[in-house]
Amino acid sequence: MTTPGHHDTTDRSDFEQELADAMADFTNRFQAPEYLPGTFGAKARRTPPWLTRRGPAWLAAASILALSGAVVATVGVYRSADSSSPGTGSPRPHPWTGPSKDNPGPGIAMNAIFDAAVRYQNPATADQVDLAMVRSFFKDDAAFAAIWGRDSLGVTCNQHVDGYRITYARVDLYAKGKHLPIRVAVVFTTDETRISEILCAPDNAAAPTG
Amino acid sequence: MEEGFEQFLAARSAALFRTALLLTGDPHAADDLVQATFEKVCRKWGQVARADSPEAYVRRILVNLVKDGRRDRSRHDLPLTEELVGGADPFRRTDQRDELIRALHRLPLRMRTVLVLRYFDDFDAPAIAALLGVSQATVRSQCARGLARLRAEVEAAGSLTSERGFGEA
Repeated sequence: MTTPGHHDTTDRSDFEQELADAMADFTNRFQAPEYLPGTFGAKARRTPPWLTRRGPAWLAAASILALSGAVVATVGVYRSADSSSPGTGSPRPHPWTGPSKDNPGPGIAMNAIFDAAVRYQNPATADQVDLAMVRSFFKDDAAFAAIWGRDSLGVTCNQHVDGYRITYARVDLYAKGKHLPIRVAVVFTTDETRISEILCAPDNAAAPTG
Repeated sequence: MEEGFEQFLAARSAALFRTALLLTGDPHAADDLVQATFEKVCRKWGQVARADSPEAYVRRILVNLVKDGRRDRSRHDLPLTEELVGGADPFRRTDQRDELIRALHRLPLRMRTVLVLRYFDDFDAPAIAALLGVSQATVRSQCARGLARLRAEVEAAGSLTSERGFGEA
């Protein structure tokens, strides 16, 4: 069933559907900024919500940890505006449309988990990590035990790291300021709400970036 | 604040951001683009609200801002990867979709815009034609050529497997 101005999506070829899925996946990696009325002519609020102390607890875990100089994550820093919207031109339904207490979304979850791991591996900051909150980002206790374990090293591919960077959904790990040649893939549950696996592989193409 | 603008902003900003994200390939450029769009919309809200389709009107502003080149940032080397959902080889799956999005951003702007409006926003050809101010034949042509170029690029990159048996568009 289609609405005026919208085309029937049931007759797509596999390639067209793959393109549509790739677009949806790509946009799901990002949270829409919050646009506030009355701010036009000036930038909308960009203050990270964890600085406002108004966000829920998981947002605090998603704070960006800048270690070793230039390690800054780039996703998960915005709160999402309401994306369930009436009217014409509504986008295709997405499995995830914004963070909530029960579903922080993949970008937030990735930031949170790598941020927590970096803190946990540093004796000076390990006690800042709320393991119960960390656990909440995983699919279940088994996934948490298998990946995080006792030392969080499963998150960082068995490497002690002191920094990370997430660009789109690419994860770069750093130790002593050096980029580690590791490809990290975070596998989410099919509804993209929880982490079920973290895969690691050598990144032979990665050149050390210092 | 004009009546209705606030509601429109709340209802549509996230959707517009996603479209802008696909057109620009960069979240910060998309943010700037949506900001610029709503600045224009805010100034002429009365006109927008009286339009047959305020949504289409606003999307036209957004697309024109990209077309003007003031907000478009070409992204030929997007560091795209993504978390993975299922599949026997998640890295391969990531590469496939990364390459599709990279190839999308290598397309000419109009072709890219047609594909985004068609396959992300699910607009039909008449709606896209009206939004872009071109004929339906142009939309269909751009869409077919865009798909063909995408297919050729990703196949050349060897990133699409035959596991899904991609058919002709």
